[in-house]
Amino acid sequence: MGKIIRNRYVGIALPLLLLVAVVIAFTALTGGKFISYNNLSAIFEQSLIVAVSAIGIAFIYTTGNIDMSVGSIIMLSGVIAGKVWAATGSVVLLFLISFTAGAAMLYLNNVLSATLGLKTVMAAILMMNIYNAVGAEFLGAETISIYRSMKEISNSNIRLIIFAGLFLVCLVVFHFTKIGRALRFTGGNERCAATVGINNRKIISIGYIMASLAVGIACAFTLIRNGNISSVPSSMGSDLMLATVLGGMSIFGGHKSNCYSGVIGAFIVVILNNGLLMLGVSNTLIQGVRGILFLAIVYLTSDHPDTLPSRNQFS
Amino acid sequence: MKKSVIALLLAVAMVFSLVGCKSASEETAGTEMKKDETVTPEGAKAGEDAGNKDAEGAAGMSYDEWMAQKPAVIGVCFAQINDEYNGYKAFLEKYVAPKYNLKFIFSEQVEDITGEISFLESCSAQGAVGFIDFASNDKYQIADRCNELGIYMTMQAPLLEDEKELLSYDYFVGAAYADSNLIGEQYGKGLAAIMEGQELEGLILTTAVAAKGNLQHIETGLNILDGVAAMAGLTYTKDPQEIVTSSAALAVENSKNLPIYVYPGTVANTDGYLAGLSAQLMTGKYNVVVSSTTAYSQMMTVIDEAEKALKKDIKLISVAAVGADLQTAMTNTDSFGNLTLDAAVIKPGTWVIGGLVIPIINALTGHEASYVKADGNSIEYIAGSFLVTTTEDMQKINTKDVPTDPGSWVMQTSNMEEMLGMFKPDITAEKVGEYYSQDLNSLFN
Repeated sequence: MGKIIRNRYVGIALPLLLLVAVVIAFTALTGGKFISYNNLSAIFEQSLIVAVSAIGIAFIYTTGNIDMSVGSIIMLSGVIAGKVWAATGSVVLLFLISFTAGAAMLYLNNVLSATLGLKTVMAAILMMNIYNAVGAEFLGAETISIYRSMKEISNSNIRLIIFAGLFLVCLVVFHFTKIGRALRFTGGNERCAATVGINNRKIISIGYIMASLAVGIACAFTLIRNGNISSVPSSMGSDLMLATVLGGMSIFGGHKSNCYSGVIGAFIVVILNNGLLMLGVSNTLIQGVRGILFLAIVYLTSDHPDTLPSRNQFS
Repeated sequence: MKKSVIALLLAVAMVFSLVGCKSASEETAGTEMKKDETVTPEGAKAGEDAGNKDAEGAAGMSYDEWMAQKPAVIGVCFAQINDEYNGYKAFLEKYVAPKYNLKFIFSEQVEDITGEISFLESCSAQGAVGFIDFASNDKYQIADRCNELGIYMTMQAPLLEDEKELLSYDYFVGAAYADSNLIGEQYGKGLAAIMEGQELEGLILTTAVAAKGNLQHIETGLNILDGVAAMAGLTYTKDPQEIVTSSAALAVENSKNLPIYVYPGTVANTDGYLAGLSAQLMTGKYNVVVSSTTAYSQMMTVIDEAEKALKKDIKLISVAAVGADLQTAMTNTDSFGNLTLDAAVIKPGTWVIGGLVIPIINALTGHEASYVKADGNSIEYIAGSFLVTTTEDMQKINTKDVPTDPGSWVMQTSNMEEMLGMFKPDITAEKVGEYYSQDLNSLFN
């Protein structure tokens, strides 16, 4: 059994198969209600932002780096864009600024990391605090409601199209180009990668460009989803790590990385939450039940090396 | 290469199946929405007529007709999970649901608008026809969404003046809450009672989310500032409204230089909240803490540490709900022999919760006149609150709302039936409002 699970092709398909199995199980247990239009639509809406961010963040994780500041970036980009919208009433500007600010802030983490010689995780944590402070200062306890301006866009298929397009672009770049190979090589062993002529700094920067594109889109999608802007950052940083791990990829990167694990993981999280609620699991027990299921999924989809993990992100 | 191709095929298949699923489902949205509803077509029709506030002549259901339907599903969105809310859950699930043919779905702790929207969507997917909202992160958006989904909603929050238009929405059938003005007055009386014969050295006023417009917290702050001004004979440099709605902590300037510190935020949503409170207490300037939320249990620990370090008594006055926390706080004493919670303004517990369910039941059973006034607006359900400063007074009230004793609920089914159209077909919304806002002291004595 262990041999089957550790087979590399099974390893690729296992998270997806688990996703399908969970859907089938909940469908059977709820008498088909789980796959009703309303519920599937809700699952898609609830997963989308994490899925979009995860596609891009995979490019960072693959190189062995971690960035926890996405929640704060989404918040601050929303605050900046919201203030401009409140002053001008322009929805186009709202999206443009949200996308640009979000992408720029994520890339700034990379610039700081390179300039100051910090590990990206440290640069991200430091910038996260700055972004939170700036957001709180700009907006304070106010909220900006943009719901009515977002209604038409939220009912259209534009987000679907953008998500599908982003996914295909990232998939091709990650799995079918030299860039993807170089990212995985760097994540696997930076010194070996440098020895064969890969410029690690440059490839990490390219990874950040791809991630910034995805996070910028996620910032815009968040505005549509929430219809409301506040200075409270979300827990997106940890949500992305959870989604990536549940989707079967290590957040420490390396040669086994891929760009779709986070997407699968994002859907698994929402499907589990949704399904447990539908089954009437008590709201006080739901966290415990979810934790056990997550543990089982992570165990099945992770490698089980004989030694302890050796990669040290903080050295 | 083979691995990449497999990865590509699997991933593309997943994306396109999701895209295809969403697109195809949109065509059947209308009919599938109705199929998801638990209430049978007869109940839904009554609901639809009631939802249109201009409809006339729609006959409401009797109790027997309602009980013959399938149970109506109502989602309950909690902003926090604690002793108080677990009590409400027991009240709804074990007492109200079987009596009135309802099924409740409860959320986890919902901290932001994303969680609130997600829970509403999940409820809609499960065929919910009612939604009780304790979170209120964006009142207009949630009301709009409920309107679009055809889900009757009530909200546990006072409505500001410019929010009163929500009462005209077809599916917004009421807001129930404890009267903020009365709560504020009780705080003022409580402060005077606990400081009788003692000197006020300084006061920390925790304003919670007054800066976000929470009426209860604003009224609490204003009444406390008025009380302090009367006690100490002082005036404030700034407008009290501006002081209590400050989003940053501030030392309140006044004519007597009495240390008064306004401290916004909450234990739940402010990093380092208790550490900040502790730091202020340790300055030794304050001997009274006023809590605008029910987080007094957490504050008591910090206050106790300060009392021991400074060797002085620090009074605490807070809003509270009946339950084990209140029992402990007003029975235990600190090192000075005083109650750990010196005065409590007690919310009316399940009286408010009942007010959130009653209009939804009236809407679902087609008794429009019982929740919609002649002007076409729904009503607000405004309840009183109480002040206790002794263990004995607390004990009288704390025998209420005990989850294991159905007879102890503040809101009994006999009270609910005075406000339900199924039992009182001729009752009007105005009469329901009057009954609901009655003086509750008789219920507590």
